[in-house]
Amino acid sequence: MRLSKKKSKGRNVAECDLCRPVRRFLSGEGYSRIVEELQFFDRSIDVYGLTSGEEGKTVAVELKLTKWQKALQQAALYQLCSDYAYVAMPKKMAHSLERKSFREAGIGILAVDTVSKVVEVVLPAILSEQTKGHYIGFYKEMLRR
Amino acid sequence: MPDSGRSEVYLRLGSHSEKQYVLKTFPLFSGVIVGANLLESTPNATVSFAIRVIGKDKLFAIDPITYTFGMDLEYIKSETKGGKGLKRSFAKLATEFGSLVEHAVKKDRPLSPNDFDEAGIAEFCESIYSYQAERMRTFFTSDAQLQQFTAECPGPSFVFAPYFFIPYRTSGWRKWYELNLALASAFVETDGKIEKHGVICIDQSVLEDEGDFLEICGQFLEADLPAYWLWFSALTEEKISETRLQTLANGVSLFAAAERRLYNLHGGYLSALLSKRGLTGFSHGVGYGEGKDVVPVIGVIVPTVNYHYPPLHIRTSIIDVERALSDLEISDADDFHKKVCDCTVCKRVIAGDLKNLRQFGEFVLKIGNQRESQTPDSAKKCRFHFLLARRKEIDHVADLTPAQLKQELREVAREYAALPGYLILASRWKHLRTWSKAL
Repeated sequence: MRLSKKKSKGRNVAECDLCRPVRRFLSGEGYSRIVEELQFFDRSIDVYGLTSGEEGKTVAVELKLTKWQKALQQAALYQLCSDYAYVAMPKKMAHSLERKSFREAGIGILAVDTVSKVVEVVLPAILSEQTKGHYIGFYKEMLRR
Repeated sequence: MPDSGRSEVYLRLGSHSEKQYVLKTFPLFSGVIVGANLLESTPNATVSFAIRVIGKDKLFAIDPITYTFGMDLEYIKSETKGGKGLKRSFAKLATEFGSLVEHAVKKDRPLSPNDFDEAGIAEFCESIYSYQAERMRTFFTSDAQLQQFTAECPGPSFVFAPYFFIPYRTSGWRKWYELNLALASAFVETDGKIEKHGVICIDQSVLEDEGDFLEICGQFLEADLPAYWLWFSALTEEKISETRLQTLANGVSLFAAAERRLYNLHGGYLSALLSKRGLTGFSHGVGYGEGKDVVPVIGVIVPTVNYHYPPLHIRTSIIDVERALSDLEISDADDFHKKVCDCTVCKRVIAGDLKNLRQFGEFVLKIGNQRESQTPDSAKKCRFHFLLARRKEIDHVADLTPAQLKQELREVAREYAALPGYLILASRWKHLRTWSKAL
């Protein structure tokens, strides 16, 4: 599934507008291998990154404009195949989120300023306890190729 | 023959690619139903399949799917060399179903209630009865190698009355309703010894009005057929509202009180639960077909066969299950078999290691596609698991009292409602509470 270019009601932003700033942000955080729309069973992870080195860390990011509950559920699934999982949303939306649910899940929140393209960590993700070696190992190998 | 005290469950064979599932599991169920279009498109394969089903002392029936000729004919057309035309199997059916259907399709229009006068209704009923009773035999007669066995060719265990979709509360619905009633009544009078069943195929919105629904049921009961099949178009058991379910349950009770057998043509676990209110049985496909819209889905990608999750009686992606395991306190294969499913397929696939659960959702990128699709092996495992799990569900419902089932539904609902909201399974339990109210 391609990243949606559809703009949400009353907004001039589409999910794909969040993608480039998030990629740049992850690059700055040391994620040297980054892919978009990585399929995970019947889902598609919007952005997935891997840091270099033997023990490379992985991150999965779900981009969403408004439906944060759905984003949270999807990011929670990605905890099975990544060390860290984030939901990235437009800045205003990201700051208005109820953080308790995200904190409980260990899922981080990224705020994307769609004008300046700056990405801010509203809530850092916690190292996932759900990670399954059989998934993460496969993706690491794939990204290293 | 059907087990007493248990829901009768009929598997619907949608295509011969599904035959492997049905052939390996139909002894677990009451019987098999095939669509008349399948019989027309693959007569030899369908007849030999029917012989195997009946030979195992199971029931077999042919759904004449007459409703398709009362809807937009575009749904049953395909591109042919000479342009767009009726699919061959439906063109053959049109000929078999008699002059009314034949004339309508020649004029490239669907049947209308106005096409039917009293004589037309009687003639149509005769055609539909004789089609179901005799069509398989005619394939024997026309085959040089099979001719000598014609007398041994099986007939169906029961026959369906002709039926059309009743577009409840939309313009002209009453005419369709009255036609269906007239067809059911006339079908009773049609010559033939095979047991006759009626079909009430109607828009699910009728369940919003209990008065109307019970009136409709009462009118059909007057046709005095021994058994009836309900088909609420596009009804999804998981999404049924409390009001609609209450109306349905009261309708079921009405048939039970009249001592008429009642089935759901496309149902699932809720239909099994409704056996406690008097529903005799139901039918579904092999992966899964527990609900069906009269308007066919055309030109979409092949849907993923998700894992049937027995605790919630839903189908869901296997990763939704895997993500919830720790919160459900399932830490190994034994826990999984105790709390989720202990069918043979699950035991063989998991083989003592929960990481093997992924085999129920494996995807592969096919050449020419941009997106991965489910592997045939994964879909196969999901289907076989579903069929085995369904049998266990039927037995489970039969073994418990309504009060026990009600309590169980509520307890499971409570357990899943308490899961963290970020788990997808935490949002998939509400139907259990709705269902519990119908018991």
